[in-house]
Order: sequence, then structure tokens, then C-alpha cells
Amino acid sequence: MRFSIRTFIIFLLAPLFFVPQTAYADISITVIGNWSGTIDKNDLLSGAGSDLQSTYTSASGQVSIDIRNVKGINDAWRIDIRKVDNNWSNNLHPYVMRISDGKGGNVSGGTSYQEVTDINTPFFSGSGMVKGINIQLRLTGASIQIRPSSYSTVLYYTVVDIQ
Amino acid sequence: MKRLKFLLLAAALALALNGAAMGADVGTHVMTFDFQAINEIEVTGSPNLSIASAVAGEQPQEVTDSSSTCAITTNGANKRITASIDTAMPAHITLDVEVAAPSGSGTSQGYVMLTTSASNVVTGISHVADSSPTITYKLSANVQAGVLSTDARTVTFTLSD
Repeated sequence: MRFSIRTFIIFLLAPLFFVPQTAYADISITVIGNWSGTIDKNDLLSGAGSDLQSTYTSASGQVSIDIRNVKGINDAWRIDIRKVDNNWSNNLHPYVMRISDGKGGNVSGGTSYQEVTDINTPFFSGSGMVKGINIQLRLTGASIQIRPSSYSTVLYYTVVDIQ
Repeated sequence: MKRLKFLLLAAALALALNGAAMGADVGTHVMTFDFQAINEIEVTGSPNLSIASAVAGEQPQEVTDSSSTCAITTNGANKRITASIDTAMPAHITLDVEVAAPSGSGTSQGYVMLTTSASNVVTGISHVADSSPTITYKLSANVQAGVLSTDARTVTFTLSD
């Protein structure tokens, strides 16, 4: 009985040592672009007595993403997204939306605005090498309740090779 | 038994390493927004006040006008509104102003006599946008003022720290 368990475990382990692990570790993501803005009295909805407009939208290609070093056109991957705040207000909510497929492999999902939170969340997925996936950004929640300051958060795009 | 434990540990380690070997990479970008100080005040209205009556044996009757409003927006804290006039009032004549506090923020100082020096009319204003606070002017005089022709004053309201 002991022999059969050992045989079973060896049988289970053996294939793992032949898996080409290094090939999986090479997938990479390049994120190009930042987004900054100034919010002042010119952003009041109708001058004195009114509040700030709450929503701001970036240019359509504010951020561009490249996925490289995949194993082939069928090598599937997923982009997860989260934010890490530097100085941020809980009233402010960043959103992302994919607005182009880029060139190369296949891309799907992420074509409606998705809020970016502190928790890694799937954004969109695809397969193969893709260049120039354009991302549009949106900020909501601006108001005169937010005290004057510079607010900054970093968006982390993690590409995960899902085979 | 020890060998079995070792094999189980090796199996778990191999599985963990295999999982970690699945590729992942991270790219970042920054979102930065500079919220600048906003302190906007706008006054509407051109009130006219005329003292033209008195009860026999008493001083002339004061008159008021509440046809003016001010619109205020600030994203700051503990702001105040001050008011002043461009030239002093004639002797024995007083012009007062009362500005209502914006909705939910600040304290009106009630009627405040206007002079060429800025006086607080609303204090403690924080993070507010209101287009409706009423401005009330009160003109009063005593008989020593005599009869005067029409005159005008410019009232300046300032929203500041």
C-alpha cells in the first residue's frame, strides 16, 4: 500500500519537471501615457453659486498598452487592474475603458467603463502579441467638497498568462 | 512514513512553483489632478432706497431692500464675506447690509454698517455652492441729515480667508 502511494506521487510529480516553465514567465506589458489635469473655477457648472462638474474624461488614446513576449497567437492572457493611492480622495473614482483592439492578436472585454479600486480586478483579456490597445480614462466624484490639493493615484495593469 | 511526508512536501512545492511560473508582468501609469482653490462670489441687483416719510415726533422711517442676492462657491474652509462701500456715507445717514448665510454653511453677522473699511458680513463658510443668499440693505437717517439729492454707492463684497 505504501509503495503504491509513493508510485502515485512520483507519477504525479514527474510531468511537472518537464513543463517548460521559463517560456511562461516571459509575457510582458508596456503601458504608455499618464493623465493629469487641473480643476479650477473654469470647471464650475455655471460660475459662482454652482458646483464643479463631477465627471472628467481623458482623450481617447490617453493610455496605450502593448502585450509582448507571448508564446504564440493562441497564448491567452488577462489584464487585471487596481490602483495604489499616493494622495487621493475617497470621493474621487477613476474608471478605465478599452476603446481599441490594437494590432496583432485577439482582444475582448473591457469596452465599458469599469471603476478601478484598490483590489485587482479583471479588465480585459486576449491572446497573442498585441500592440497599441488604447485606453480611455474617466474621473468622477469631483465637487467643491474636495479640498484644494494635488491628488494622485497609480493604476497598475497586470498581465497574467492564463495559457 | 517520513519518506511519504517528504514526497507530499515535494509535490506541494512543485505544484506551487509551477503555478508561480505562469507569466505575469505589471505596467503602470499615474493619474494626477490638481484641485485649485476656488473662491467665487457674484452679486446681482441694483437696489434703490429712498427715505421719504416719518411719523410726527419721530426720526425718519428707515427703509429696506431685499432684491439683491449673492452667489457663492468655495472649496475652502472657514472663509468669510466682507463688505465695504467706495465712499463714506453723508453725515447722519447710515447704510447697513445683511447677507444671509449660504445654505448649510457659515454664520450671518446680521445688519452690519457699511463703511469704506471691509467688515465681516458672513463668517465660517466652508465647502459650499449656493446661488441664493439674500442681501438686504437698510438705509436710515435722522433729521440732522436734512434733505439730500440722489446719491449712489458701490458696495464691494469679497470672499476671502
